[in-house]
Amino acid sequence: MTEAHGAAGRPERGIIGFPTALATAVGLIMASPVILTVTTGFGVGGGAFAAAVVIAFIMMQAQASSFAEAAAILPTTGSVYDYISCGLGRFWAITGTIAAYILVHVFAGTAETILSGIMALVNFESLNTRLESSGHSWLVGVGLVVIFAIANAFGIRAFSRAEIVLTLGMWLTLMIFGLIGLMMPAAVPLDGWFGGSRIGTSVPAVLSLVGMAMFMFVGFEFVTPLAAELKRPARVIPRAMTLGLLAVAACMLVYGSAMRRQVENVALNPQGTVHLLDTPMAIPHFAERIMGPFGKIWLGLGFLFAGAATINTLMAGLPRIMYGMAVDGSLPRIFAYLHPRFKTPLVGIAVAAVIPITHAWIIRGDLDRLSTLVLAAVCAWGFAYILVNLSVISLRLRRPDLPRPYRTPFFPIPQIVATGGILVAIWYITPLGTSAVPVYRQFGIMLALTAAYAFIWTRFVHRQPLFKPVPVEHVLQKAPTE
Amino acid sequence: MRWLKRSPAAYRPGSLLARLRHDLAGLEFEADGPTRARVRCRETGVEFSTEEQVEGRFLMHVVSTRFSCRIPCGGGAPVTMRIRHRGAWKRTGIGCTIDPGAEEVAERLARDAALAATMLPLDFTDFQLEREPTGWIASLVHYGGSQVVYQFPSTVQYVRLAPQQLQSIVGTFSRLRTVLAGA
Repeated sequence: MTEAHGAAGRPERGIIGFPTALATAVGLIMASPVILTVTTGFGVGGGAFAAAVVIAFIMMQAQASSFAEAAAILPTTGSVYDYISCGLGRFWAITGTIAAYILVHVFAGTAETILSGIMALVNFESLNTRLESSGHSWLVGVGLVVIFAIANAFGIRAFSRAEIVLTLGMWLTLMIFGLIGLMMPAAVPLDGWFGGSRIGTSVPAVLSLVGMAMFMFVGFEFVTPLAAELKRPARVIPRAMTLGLLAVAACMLVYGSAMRRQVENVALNPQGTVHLLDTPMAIPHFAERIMGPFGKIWLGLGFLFAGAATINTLMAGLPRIMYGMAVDGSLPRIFAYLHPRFKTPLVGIAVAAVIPITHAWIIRGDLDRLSTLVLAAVCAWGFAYILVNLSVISLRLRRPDLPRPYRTPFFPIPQIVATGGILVAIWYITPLGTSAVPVYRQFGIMLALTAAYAFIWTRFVHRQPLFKPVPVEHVLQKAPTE
Repeated sequence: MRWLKRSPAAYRPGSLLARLRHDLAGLEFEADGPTRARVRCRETGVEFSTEEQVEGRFLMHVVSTRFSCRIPCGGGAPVTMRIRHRGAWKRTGIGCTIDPGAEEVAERLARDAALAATMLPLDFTDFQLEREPTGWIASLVHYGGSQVVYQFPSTVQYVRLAPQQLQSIVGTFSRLRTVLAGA
């Protein structure tokens, strides 16, 4: 459903208020991998994971100030590419941008593909049991990807205007289930609010959960590109980010605490290495405990729609981005091909579908590898964030003359806290006692390929300096603000 | 259901237009509100307007540009036509979906080789011709000159309008003025 908005119905510059900014900062709370990651985190770490959430919250606050300052210097784009190219040069800009969206899609998109199929089945026990026993439940997610790829190829649009309903709906659902779970008599005796930790409560144990905790805050920084439209952005942006992060953290802490109180985290294999809360099956158990069969249907449908909508988003956006890159000469010309009748970029849609399908097929929908994908996505995302922090520091030192409507308070402490925190989270990327090698391998290979592409593209194709920062004026001139 | 008509939360009115303005270099550009502009090509005399339109999706939105040109000739009873490319895999020409009463115009458009040649390279997703009492309004939405805004992860990606695409848009409007004269 395309809708042309007349100018009269639009907000003028500087009239977007705090509620919009807050809604934007709430981020990705509804995505299934986020909720499963939180469930697993509380299952593994209990109180230690709650401490990791607090650490991740502080780190993301610090990170938010970097985004706010970068957006204030370059208010026209909001693009990670522009921030990094002005701070550190084109090589890092290409590497960081691909890490920020292509790699995160590769990892998190695959996780969503596998998980949405599993969530779609949890309410259909006989079918679920049959597919589970043959190990093919992940194919349902692949089916969803294929359905949405075909729908997009024919120009059929789905989930328009769903953003507000799904975001708010999922936040309210989790809060309602969480609060009821806290008020009901506990089904499981617990030590403290969040239960005990299987990996202990030492500092390394808490740090090893920060990477997982960071994943729940994905997307909060999206409020920064609103800078030009906000009333008093210097005040509203930090407040919206703080409250957005608080809303997410509060919701997840309530949900996690309730989950631990109501669902017994029983071992699922004789070795005791896999527990119920490490799997998506914990979620329908929790829903049933809170509201009976109705709760199971409610939560199951919520996850199914959120998963399907996330997959559709992948199908809808990436092909257009690839079209643009093909027009610019960054990708082969075939990506700019539009079907004569449907006017859809078929090659881009096919590639956007093949990426998660191939990845899901390679790992055969192995649930144990879901957390590896999520944590590899955290690495890719954290890497891009570090580059943004370094760019903000570089611009402060080299270009103190630039006008900055928003300046990071206590510079450079927030940048150091955020960068240091992300590095520590990447160092301790997996829960204590589990190997980080698969995560580093996935992320390392992808990053090396990305860096090689950025090097060849910048050095030999465009013949431009690799590390020379692009002047801010040049970027602003390319994208005039008025 | 007012919220259904609201723009996506992260939509920044005018941000696409600011980018597009760079791609329209060489044409006269006059802002007509935060999301609209009037554009004029000195060489051909073609005048058209650009307007942002937003398509909200889950966790993302696409902002595209509608290029509209008023052709003050051959007005009449209201008629709407949709123009499309023909062909199963490759574009082989242009065709029209029409309201009753516009068959003659549709035939004239489909027969005009120069118009087809100008329109074939255009990557439009929608192309409408509307007849009003005082003339025609041609409007198209093009792939280039759009913006993809992702919330996860946070990215804004502008899809450039290439110079040859702009040339085709101006050429199409210019040719339509000739073909529709007297229609």
